[in-house]
Amino acid sequence: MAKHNYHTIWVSEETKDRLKKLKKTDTFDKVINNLLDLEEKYADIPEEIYEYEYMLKNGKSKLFRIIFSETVNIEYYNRDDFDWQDDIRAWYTGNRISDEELDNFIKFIIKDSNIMTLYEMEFEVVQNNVWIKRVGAAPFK
Amino acid sequence: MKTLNIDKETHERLLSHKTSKGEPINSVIVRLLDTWEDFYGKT
Repeated sequence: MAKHNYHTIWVSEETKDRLKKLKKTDTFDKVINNLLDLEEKYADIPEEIYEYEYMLKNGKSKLFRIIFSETVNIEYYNRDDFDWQDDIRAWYTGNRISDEELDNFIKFIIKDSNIMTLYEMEFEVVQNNVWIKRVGAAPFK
Repeated sequence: MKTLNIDKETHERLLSHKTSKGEPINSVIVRLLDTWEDFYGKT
């Protein structure tokens, strides 16, 4: 009788589909180990938060922060709710901001903050959020 | 639900990432996938 060296696990159809997208020609073992490697590589990275004040064209200022951990997120401070929020398009006046203003804001982050000397990042606007992703797998420091 | 066959070592690594004893393996994998997609973007 053949000895099985594998375990059968149960996953949702959605999870299996997501794994299949990453799988390509690899095995599921390889894909899952790659996921685990990434998780473990950055598990001990402490959260670093950089806060900035950004001046709007109307003369008012907005507070925002960039949080670096396993992912990079931008949040702005909503003074009405006394809360940090991540819907970056709503940060300007509570309504949608123009692409030009958002572009100016991103350029401000790149130019006026020193974080770009530490990280390699690309910006992409996805729905209402500024999506910051690392270029390849650049280390934090 | 669907089945996946994985080797013993992979299974043990997944178990070590459970946040609680009763957490389903599927939840662990979902969490790993979310981190991957946050890092590299969705495929």
